[in-house]
Amino acid sequence: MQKIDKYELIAMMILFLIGTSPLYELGVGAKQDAWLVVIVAMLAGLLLLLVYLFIQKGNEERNLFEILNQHLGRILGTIVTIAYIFYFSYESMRNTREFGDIINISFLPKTPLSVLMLIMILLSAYAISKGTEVFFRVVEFLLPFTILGYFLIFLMFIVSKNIHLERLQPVLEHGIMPVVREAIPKVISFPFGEVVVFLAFWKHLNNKKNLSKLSIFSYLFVGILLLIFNLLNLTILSPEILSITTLPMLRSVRLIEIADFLERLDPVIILLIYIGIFVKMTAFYLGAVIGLSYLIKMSHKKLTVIVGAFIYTISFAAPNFIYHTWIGFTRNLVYDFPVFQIWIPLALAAVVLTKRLFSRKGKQTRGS
Amino acid sequence: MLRRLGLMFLLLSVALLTGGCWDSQELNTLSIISATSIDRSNGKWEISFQVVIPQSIATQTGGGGAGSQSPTTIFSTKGRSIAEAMQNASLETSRKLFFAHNSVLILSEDVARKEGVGEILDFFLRPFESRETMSVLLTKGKASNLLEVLIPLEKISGNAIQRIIDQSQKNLSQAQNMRLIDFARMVASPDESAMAPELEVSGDLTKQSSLDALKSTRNDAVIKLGELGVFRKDKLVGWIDQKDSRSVAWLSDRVSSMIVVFPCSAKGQENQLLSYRVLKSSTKLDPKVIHGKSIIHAKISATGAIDESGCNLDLKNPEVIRDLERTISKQIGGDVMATWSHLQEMNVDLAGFMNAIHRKDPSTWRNLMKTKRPIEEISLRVQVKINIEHTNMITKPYSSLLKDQKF
Repeated sequence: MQKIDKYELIAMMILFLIGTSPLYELGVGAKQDAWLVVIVAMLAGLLLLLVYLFIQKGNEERNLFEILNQHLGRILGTIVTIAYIFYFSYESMRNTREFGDIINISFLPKTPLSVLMLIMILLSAYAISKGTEVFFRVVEFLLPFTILGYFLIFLMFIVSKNIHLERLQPVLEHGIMPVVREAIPKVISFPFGEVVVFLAFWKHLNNKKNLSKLSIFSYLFVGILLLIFNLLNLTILSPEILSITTLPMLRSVRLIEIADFLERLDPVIILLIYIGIFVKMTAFYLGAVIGLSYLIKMSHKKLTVIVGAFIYTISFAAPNFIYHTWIGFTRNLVYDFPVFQIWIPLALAAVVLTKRLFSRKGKQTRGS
Repeated sequence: MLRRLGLMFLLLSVALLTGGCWDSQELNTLSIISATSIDRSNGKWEISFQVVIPQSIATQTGGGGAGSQSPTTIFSTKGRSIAEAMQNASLETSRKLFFAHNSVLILSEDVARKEGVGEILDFFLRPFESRETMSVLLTKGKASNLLEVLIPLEKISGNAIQRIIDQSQKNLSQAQNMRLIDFARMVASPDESAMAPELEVSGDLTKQSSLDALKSTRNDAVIKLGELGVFRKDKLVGWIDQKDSRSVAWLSDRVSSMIVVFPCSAKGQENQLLSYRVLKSSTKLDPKVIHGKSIIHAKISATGAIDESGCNLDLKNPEVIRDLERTISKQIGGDVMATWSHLQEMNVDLAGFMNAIHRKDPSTWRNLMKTKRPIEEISLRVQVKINIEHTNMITKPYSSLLKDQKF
């Protein structure tokens, strides 16, 4: 039985949720109120997190797939499990492809996409083949560097005098509705709702008393970090420029010029983003492997290779990056991901709740 | 054994893959561009690049000394689109053009007026290599001429131009260094008119473009900043002179240092002048609506010192100083009002008034945007508060010592 301790869980949740998110301007559709979108989505996402935690609390020693089969019955459980395996693989593939294309756009325009993605998949596969515990420990090791990196970039933004806070005004020019419409379901689904994959890992925590506290703490920490970077992009680039920029943070960082020598820090942000992407794609990949191992009895390493090959194959599905982002931001986030992040967990929670109520009633009637 | 071989194979292939050989760029295969200019001729884009010649800047000792080779060379290419023109450069250069160090982008008036800057901005914001911190400049003649002028003290004139703007921004507060990203933001903003400083060559250009020019102590031509080009949407619509540029700097809170020259108020000495150096200043715009009319209250305050006095006044007396402060305030206030009426005539908003209204009072802003010329609906009230902190190292003017002298 693999065991993870609380620091490993915190590190994992933080880096997982950071992922690629600082690179994008979440909620840019609400123009200068994008930061409010992040707050709204963060709070709504917190409710989702509580639902996930509720599900886990009722089934402490089980992971998502075991819970599904326990509560939905054998047939329906298997169907939903397969659906989740596909969902996790797809999310993992999205991150793989995204990073490949970001590298293509920025540093290595001529390097074949297939090679970039292969290297990443190999690295993830290696981490996973060593087991859940090792992967969590690697992430714990990566956390301080990442946080320090983001903190330094934040500091340099302030020192380089690129921040114009007045660009946030007027606040709520068109009322609260555009903000809510941007937040739900788009920003909930990316990045906050993705935390659903932790249902596959939480059972490994050695001391489950702190589970809720740790998860909520990590969640809020990342929420605030994303809020800060969202504000930075807004105040540095203005909503107009943001609305046409492919990778806003990459652009903002290039505006840092300190004392004529500290400039062009884009490699730093790419490095930080890579850490985030690696953690996120590997976590989803691991989620899919765990799911598959529930269905098929096979060695962990073989399953890792099978799922890895599958993710690598489907990462070529999108004909280009434009299609990839289009389908991601206008289709998946609105129609597909909420199914796995909101509807199935809600239904599952409802089943857990009713079962618990009935069993309690049953106990009471038996007792009296 | 087989397992070990497989592992070796895997390691080797990973080592090969991660070498990144697809995108290798060697320094000696690049031509580093330090400045770019864009003109139009015969319906085509004409782009000129100032390319640094590394060996000539490496061998020279002392800034800009005349070596055997010019420190930069210039390529000009044409094309139907900017990218095509750039690609055509490969027809004549031996090395790949490298943009990451391009620090200046000069546009000719012709391009900015007729074509607009939309396409240019798109082209320069798109590639990863291009820097959004390059300075945008305008020029009235042919833009590529400016790349040819050699600047004493500096080897690479592209970098020198950027330093000239930086200097003048710090010490004169007249021209603002317009980074590409700021320029793009201002052009795109619905509430702001964009502007860019003008660069001009004064003197005999043909002589200053040869290395021999640097052998003499006096230059045949110099590059200098001139007026301020004003845009409506993405097209250049006019110029404002240096006096107006300073007033715009006052209104938009960009004054960092500036000399204000003002006449003496004492009787019989009206022709004498004093200089006041601004050391610190701030401007606050306060939009208000009074009787349905939009009014901007501009509160300008500045602290500084007397740098020069041609007229004989008792500068030790606080009363006199107060009087001087009043004179300076009145002068700045008058200049600012005059500039505001120029801006209203041109129908441009350089001072960020619409922005101020939009931020504070969106509903008034919406009403203003419905009118045909919103700028004319706004009236300006200026309040200037000048503080003379000290008079530097001497108190009374030197001329006061000469007053009673017989010989």
